[in-house]
Amino acid sequence: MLKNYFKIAFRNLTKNKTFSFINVSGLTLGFSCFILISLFVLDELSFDRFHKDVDDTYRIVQTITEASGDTRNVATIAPTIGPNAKDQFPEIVNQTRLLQIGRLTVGNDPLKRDYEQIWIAGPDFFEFFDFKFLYGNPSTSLTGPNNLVITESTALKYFGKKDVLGESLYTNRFEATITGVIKDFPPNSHINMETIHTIETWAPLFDEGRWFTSNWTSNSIITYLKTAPDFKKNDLESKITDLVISNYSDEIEYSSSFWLQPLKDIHLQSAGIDGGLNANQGSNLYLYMFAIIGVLVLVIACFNYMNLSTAAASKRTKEVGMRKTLGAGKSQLIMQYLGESIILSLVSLIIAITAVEFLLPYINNISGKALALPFDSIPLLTILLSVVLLSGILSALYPAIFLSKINPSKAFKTDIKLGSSGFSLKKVLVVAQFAISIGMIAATIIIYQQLNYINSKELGFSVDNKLVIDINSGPLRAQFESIKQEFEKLDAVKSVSVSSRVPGEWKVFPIANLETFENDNRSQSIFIGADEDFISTYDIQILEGRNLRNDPADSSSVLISKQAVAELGLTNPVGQRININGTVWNGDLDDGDGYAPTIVGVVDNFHFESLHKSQKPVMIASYRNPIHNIDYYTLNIETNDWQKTIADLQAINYQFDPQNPVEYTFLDNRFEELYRADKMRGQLFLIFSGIVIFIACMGLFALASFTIESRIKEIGIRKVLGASVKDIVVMVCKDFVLLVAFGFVVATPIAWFGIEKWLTDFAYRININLSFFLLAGVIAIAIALITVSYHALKSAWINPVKTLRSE
Amino acid sequence: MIQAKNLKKVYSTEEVETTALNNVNIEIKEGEFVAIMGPSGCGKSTLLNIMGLLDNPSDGEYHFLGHDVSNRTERERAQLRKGNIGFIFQSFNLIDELTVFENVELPLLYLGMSADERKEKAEAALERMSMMHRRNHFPQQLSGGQQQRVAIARAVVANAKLILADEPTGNLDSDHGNEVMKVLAELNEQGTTIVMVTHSPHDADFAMRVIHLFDGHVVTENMQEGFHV
Repeated sequence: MLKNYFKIAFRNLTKNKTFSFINVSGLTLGFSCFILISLFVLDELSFDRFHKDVDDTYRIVQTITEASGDTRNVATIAPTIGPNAKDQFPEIVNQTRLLQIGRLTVGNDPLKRDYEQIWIAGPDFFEFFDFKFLYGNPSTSLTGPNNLVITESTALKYFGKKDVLGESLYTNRFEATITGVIKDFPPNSHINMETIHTIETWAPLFDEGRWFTSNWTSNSIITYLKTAPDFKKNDLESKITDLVISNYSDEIEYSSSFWLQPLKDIHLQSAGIDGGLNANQGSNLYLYMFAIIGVLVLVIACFNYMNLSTAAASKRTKEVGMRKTLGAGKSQLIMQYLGESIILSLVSLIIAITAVEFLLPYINNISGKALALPFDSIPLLTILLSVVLLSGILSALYPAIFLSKINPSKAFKTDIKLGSSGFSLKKVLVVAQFAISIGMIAATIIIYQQLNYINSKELGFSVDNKLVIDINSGPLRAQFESIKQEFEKLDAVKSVSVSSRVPGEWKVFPIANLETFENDNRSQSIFIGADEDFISTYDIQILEGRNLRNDPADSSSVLISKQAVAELGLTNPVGQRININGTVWNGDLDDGDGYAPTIVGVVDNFHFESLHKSQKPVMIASYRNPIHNIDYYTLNIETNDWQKTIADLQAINYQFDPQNPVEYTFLDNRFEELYRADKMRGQLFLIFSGIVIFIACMGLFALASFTIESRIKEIGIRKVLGASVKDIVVMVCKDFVLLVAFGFVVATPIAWFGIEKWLTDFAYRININLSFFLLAGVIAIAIALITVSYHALKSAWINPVKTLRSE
Repeated sequence: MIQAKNLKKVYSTEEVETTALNNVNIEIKEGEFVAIMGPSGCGKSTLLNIMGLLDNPSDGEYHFLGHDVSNRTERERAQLRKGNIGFIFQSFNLIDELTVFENVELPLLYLGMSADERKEKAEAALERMSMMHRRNHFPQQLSGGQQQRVAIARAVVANAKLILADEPTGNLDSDHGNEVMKVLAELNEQGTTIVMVTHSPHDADFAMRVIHLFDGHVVTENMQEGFHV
């Protein structure tokens, strides 16, 4: 019997090639998307869960209330809080701290040196977290001066081997001894570092280490806690807040509170938390969106299959009638149908898994993840097999029940109509499919328009052909005038400027609190120290007054942007002195930083950051300013041979600083990088809307075939009565266009709301109007028409004699 | 009105060639009422389809209203069909989703008539078939005889000169069948040419002339008693 079912199933599949192809490819597509998205979602949800105490581990976050009343969350807190809290509150079982303080040049081979971030961790760090040690002792490796723990790929990078325990490694500050080699941090860890230093190594920089036990005010160190199982979170949070208040100087008004962020939430729920460490930060919003898309694609594919098999079922009434006449029971027939459907699902799943295996390297490449299909993972296999069963059953249940109910005497007639109740379900489904398609097409159009807008928006300066070189060492900073001259001697170099910061969100920039002597207005401006070539190198417009001069006599001159002038309400800015009343660094006020420069010129506004953020006022001070030293060269380059130019620059760099390699970045790449996530989202939307509309079209194709099949006689009658091919095609297509149009009505408000929400993330954005959605609707209708017209034309061309033959 | 010379119709599939009509010669004059009889598969319906311009013959000549229509395109045949030929089927072939009135109105719609004109004509046709009181019903709500009367109303609504009826009483009991035949006879008296395929000798009695087909050939043509052309 089973063999007979298989035979029939196989023959049916090969007989209706179009149906089978659409069935299998639709389900395969659905499964592939589902598997990929499941892997992605599971990976996002797996962040940091490999630590055995993940449920008891928290990060302390500080909420600061600004003078303006706004609040900010910061994951870097004062270094004393963690250890003191642990000593005083028994519910804290353990604590550890991490501090990032800049970069080092590393490498025993002078020609293969590179820069590495300096991460300082408490001695207990590797006992606190469960990172895997390859060599060395986790409990002692982070003690003692100049000892260093590195990852295996860092070991390979500088030594060419992994077992480097006890070997020494050159850095430009000290000779390090490797006391531990750990496995690379897993891709699903929010912590990711290359070199981990001991507190002792850097103690001299921190008041001989006293800073770590005495500072209650800075925002600098990341602190993790492990708590006892029965602790009260709210209580501990207020106890920590009270502890910090009691240790605060009475002179400063206290305006912070502390709370505990679960370790497992750090990856996905850290939007709006500054500072701290969060490698490959995720977003709950996108996670949910992808999960929904994944399920939708699969459901849409299943319903398609249902549509298609229902349409095909009307052709199988004779087979079913004969089986019944020969004694097949209702349940046998249902089982046969479900069996066929599950076989088909299984085939699709196997193809999908193969496809996913092929696609994964490509997807890992784009997403920066290390997704893999774990064939030994029982949960995954269970999910996949249940999905196969579920989709197989779901897809075939309706046609199976319908067919099994057929009265054998009627089954031999060819014109049995399938139940009309299922028909309206199909309509609802098509509307939903096209609503989703239209929403996604509209989202894709708008995302691309917005990216286009950003790319073409005037930043107020030029990013093209700019090479930015980091100043990473004393020699490069001290001898910058000579280095500049050497750079300028190169043919390719058109101009060179030095500045404390360059546009493009590289590092935190100081915000200067500006006050006038004329009125009470204040302005918080980005503060840049620069030489006189900054303006010409970046092509920034001077609107009033003059440029800065490199002359020491000009050291207290500044340029301010039009926006700063407006915020300060200055009527005649040029020649006026203004006061800098302290600077803010990453939210930390440094009230000692200040002087009273003279405005010598006003520059046009320009965007220092990505267009996600609104334009801020800018002050460009002389590089001799007392607040911020120079940190970058910017070179305006015109060359056809970048390789040679960079080699030349490298040579000049080594001439002045043989210890440290040159570190350069193309400014336009840097700006592109700021929109990389947006671009990726745009591409993903393009792909998914393509898939969704493709699957929706298959559904429509099925529905068209189904509907037209049931109306074939009516079409025949109409033709006999004089309807032309055009009349028939219009009549048939009208209904489907109506469904799509209804989808448009459903999609527009929802998509509008969603896209509007996405756009609020940009300070500079296009405005949405109905035309984007109309365009999406027209595209969807056009695609739908093309899909339906195949069946419509086919039916309209049929000679009615064939469809009206009575018996 | 209709002249068919050496009509031949061959249906071919990949393997089998079936000759449905073989050298059929028929002439039908305006105002005639002709019945075509013969066993199943003798080619009656094929002949009717060719007469109704629904199909082209494989060979031979076919003239309708003086036009040679042996090898016209579908569009040309449709043009000539519209308004000139009305069809009546055994299974009525009314559109279930349309009301009685809408079904009758349909041919006029495809003739491009205005709504007012359509209303007037469709109502007149329904009146003629005594179906006005059922104008807003759907076909499923009517008896078989009533459905066939609606179908006849639809066939005559555009003042067709020729009505082709394919076993018009085949799905009806004898009372309703008789009723339908009387209506057809009345139409014929009023000048409409009628060609009817039938199995029923009783129905054939209403015709002036009976053509017997067998295996695609015309076997006999009998003038019914009392009829003279």
